[in-house]
Amino acid sequence: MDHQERLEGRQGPGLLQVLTNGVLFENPVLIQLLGMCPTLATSTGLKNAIGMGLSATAVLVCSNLAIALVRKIVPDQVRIAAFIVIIAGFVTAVDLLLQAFLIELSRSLGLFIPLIVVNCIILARAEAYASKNAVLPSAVDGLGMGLGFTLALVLLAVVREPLGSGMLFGVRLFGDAFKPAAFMTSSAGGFLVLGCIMALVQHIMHRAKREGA
Amino acid sequence: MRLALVLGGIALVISALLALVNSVTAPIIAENEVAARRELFSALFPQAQDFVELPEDPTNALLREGYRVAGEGGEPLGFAVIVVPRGYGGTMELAVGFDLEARVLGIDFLSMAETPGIGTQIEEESYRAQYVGLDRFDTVQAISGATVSSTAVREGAQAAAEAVQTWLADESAA
Repeated sequence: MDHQERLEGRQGPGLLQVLTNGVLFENPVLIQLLGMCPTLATSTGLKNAIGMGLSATAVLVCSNLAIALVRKIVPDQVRIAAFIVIIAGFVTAVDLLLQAFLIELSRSLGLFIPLIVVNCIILARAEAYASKNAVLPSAVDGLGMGLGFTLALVLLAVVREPLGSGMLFGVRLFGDAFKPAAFMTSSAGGFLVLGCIMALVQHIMHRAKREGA
Repeated sequence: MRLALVLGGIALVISALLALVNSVTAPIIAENEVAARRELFSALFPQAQDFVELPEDPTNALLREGYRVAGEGGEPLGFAVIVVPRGYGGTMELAVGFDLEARVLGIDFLSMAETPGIGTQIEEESYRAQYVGLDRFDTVQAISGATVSSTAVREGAQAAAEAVQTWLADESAA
């Protein structure tokens, strides 16, 4: 994939294609299976899923942009260290901003905001894309990957929150007779849902490809 | 040489950026904390007018601060205590309200870093309601899968109750 991306970079694919690549064809969670820990942990509720997805998107866009900007002056030997410093800086900024302006979300996501630093999606995009491409496509790639991450989290949460806690977006859906399956809010339940969604996505993509051919 | 310069330069720029963000958000975060504390206390003591800080107790490691709560005309209502037990994700700030007989009126959290969806279940009303009316907490049911978080809350509440009993004993001795 690395090779393919570099090829595409040389031919200069349209920005729209870069965007849809991130959201759909190379979705970081559903196709690349990156960032499993925050995916399973924050997709137990729709509110957390959207908050986490958009926070990671903000960090991804900023870090991809900054890394593409400095890609030519950073020597190879220290690039990982430089990337981590940049990523950690933006994550801390997002964390402070959430604490100041979205206190509810900051409280419910707690530990997982600082942990975006070690979210492998972000370092993966820095390595695989932003360090080899111009500023604008890199920012768009960050946006696409971030939205792809958000989409996957939302898909998971839409299944897990009603089944696991009988709520959607924190609102009760069913009467008292409904007994939520707490298994769905556990990580094991999350993997189960993720597997089903991935199978569905593969099925749809294969069918689309066959019809296209 | 170039390695150090580039890395140092990046670190410097990022630090400057963070300093800027921090200078904007720090006062707002502090304000939010004060507001959260006020809101929490007024939920525990709807008629509260006055909070008088109580002396610290160095033997009680979990105690952060305690207040004697008074209503209109100085009528005593109870005690508001903040304790800092260690949960799964580090220290949490737990506020416990007590009546004048050292029985719990309610508990709530100022801050915590428990695992979302698992440890954070201690915030749910059904769990917190177990504490109301108690002065010992042996009978409180832990949440399965969140034992560390539940235990932290129980130990925090116990420390708060002990602090209130100490203050009450001091007062009746005086």
